[in-house]
Amino acid sequence: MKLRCTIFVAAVFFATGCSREDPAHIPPSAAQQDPMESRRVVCFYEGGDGVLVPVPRDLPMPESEAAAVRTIATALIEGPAPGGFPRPFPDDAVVRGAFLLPGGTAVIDLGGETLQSGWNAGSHAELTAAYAVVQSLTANLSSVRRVQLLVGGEVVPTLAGHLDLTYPLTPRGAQRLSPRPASPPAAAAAAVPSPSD
Amino acid sequence: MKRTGSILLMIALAVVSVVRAQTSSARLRTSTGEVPITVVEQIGQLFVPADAMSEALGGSLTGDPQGYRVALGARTAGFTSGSRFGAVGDELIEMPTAPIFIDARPFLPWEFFRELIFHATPELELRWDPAARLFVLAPRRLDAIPASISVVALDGMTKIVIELSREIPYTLRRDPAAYVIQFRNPLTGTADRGYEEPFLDRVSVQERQVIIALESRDVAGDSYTLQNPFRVVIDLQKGERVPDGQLPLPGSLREPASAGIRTIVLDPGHGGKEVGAVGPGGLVEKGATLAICRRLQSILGSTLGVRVLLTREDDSVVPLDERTALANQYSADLFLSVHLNASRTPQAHGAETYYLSLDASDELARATAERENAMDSSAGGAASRSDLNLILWDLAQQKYLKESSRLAELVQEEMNSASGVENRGVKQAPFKVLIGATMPAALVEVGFISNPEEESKLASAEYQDVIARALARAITKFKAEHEAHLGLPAERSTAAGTPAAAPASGAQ
Repeated sequence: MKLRCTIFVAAVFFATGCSREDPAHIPPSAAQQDPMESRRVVCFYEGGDGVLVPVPRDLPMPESEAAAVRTIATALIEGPAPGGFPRPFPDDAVVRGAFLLPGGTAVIDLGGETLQSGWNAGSHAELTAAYAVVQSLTANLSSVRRVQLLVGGEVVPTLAGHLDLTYPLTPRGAQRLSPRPASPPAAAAAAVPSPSD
Repeated sequence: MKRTGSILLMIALAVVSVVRAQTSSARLRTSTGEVPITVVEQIGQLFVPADAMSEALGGSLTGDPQGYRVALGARTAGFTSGSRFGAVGDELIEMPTAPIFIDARPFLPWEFFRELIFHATPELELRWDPAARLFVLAPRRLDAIPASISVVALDGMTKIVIELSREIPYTLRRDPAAYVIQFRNPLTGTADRGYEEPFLDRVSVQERQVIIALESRDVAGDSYTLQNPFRVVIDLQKGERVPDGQLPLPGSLREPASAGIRTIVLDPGHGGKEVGAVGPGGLVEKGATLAICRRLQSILGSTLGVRVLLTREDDSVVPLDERTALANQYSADLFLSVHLNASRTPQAHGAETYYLSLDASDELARATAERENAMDSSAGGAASRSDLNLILWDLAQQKYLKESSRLAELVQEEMNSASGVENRGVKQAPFKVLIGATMPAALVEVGFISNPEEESKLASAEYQDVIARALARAITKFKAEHEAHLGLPAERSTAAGTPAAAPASGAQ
């Protein structure tokens, strides 16, 4: 497995012609050079019925989709979450890096003590976290077709012992196409902002 | 909307590309003469019409886009639209790309038929001569493969390891007092030899065959393969006397359907430092899953009379890959992973059951294609090739998705009726512990440890017993359905084979 992970990273960063010096890699400083226009996007959070629901958010979005990958991922993972919704990731989770590869794979490098030391979570929390990222990126950025999650710069077998992260994740149709409006956990429903459009 | 537009545009382009696919003429030469075959070349790939090619080779095509079948001789191969993986029996056929459709007529990469011919008539091969635009069905030209055979007695069994310089297909059969391994290619570098190890009399090599003569007819064997280098391993140990007539096939090449459910592997989630989820009251997932699995093992062992194994017997770390590998190595007929769920929303509650998602298979297939391309465009190397093998192995569960789906349904039904917790349903996800399993496999989340009320129930031995009995009933029903489907006789004792929905106090 270690071999596969190593090779996969090599394939991602070399076989596709991308590296950390490649223009496809958008460091924070580069992202900040893009014009920052506030734009409405949808980020996915766990609703009261346990499924991911789209929640509108206004974020300062760069024009480049490659740079926007980091913007959306950071907003979702590092929070704060809109009122009433739980943050999908552990509170200390951070986005160490975000990349968009030419084939449509967004690579999100996660960090933080909890994730890097082994997240003791159930499959529900793990699925919710991972697919919150996948759904949020693919719903807003047409060039993102799949998402590879890394932890500490490396491919990991799972985040919390269930979901296979050695391959990129693709969006889940049922959740992505869910017509249900945003529905936060009941206890905090009153705090949820309603979409204006 | 922007994204929808892009998708529509992509679909439109794909349709146009199919419509514009260039058809041309080729021929197929067999021992009976030559026939014309229309071919399509698209993006460097040669496609042949599934119907015409099947008929030209003496077979037939049936089905629809949900599932086509090509019958050729005694073998039937299947393929579907949108997937580059087909199957012959329980063997995968890997194609360079998915089938294409022209006027609703399926066209397959010609390599599909090359693989089918190998399985249907191994002595023949289908070749393509691009210069002559000619397919040729002719006797197979095979290289001799260097091989070595080693034998060692270990842990009460005798292990025979046949190491080859590269992986080649093989079949395995049991004769009354021998295992016969038939390789596609002739072997070199080996010699006949007698042994004084337990259970083994002699290993003979006859061109493509390795014959393992057993000490007696009551020697049983398991077989499996290892990679890097490629090895076929046969483990011999004392077993039941093999009767005349119906001879069981061992190991990875057994016909899994033919023997019914004989070995079950239960997987208590997490373990060791990987504690899993922890409830607000302090209940730790790894301990509860082990307790439930031990109880389930006890129930199944006494009611079904099958071999029931755990992936871990104690509080130890077992990597996810090894859990599945263990089930494969023991030729398990069913794999059930038991977990306790957790959510960052404390209200979340109920039980849910998973089997592998097709997303995982698709993504694995895509990764395989990428890796192949990388290998083609680089020096290749053993590492890349072994990586590809690992991915192909990962696709193994794809063959069992229908059965895994049914297993998950039964598990969820019994959990609903027994536990009274909310039915969160049967779901699919690319869970790592399910991907490499070469048998029906499911993962059940029996309740939410993050919910204080459910945590309290999950911590009690009585409720763990309720869950174990529910899971035992699900497995018993699956076994009965599975074996009835195979035409096998029903279990001797229905009462013994159906764990009752015992009251909570009915613990062991």
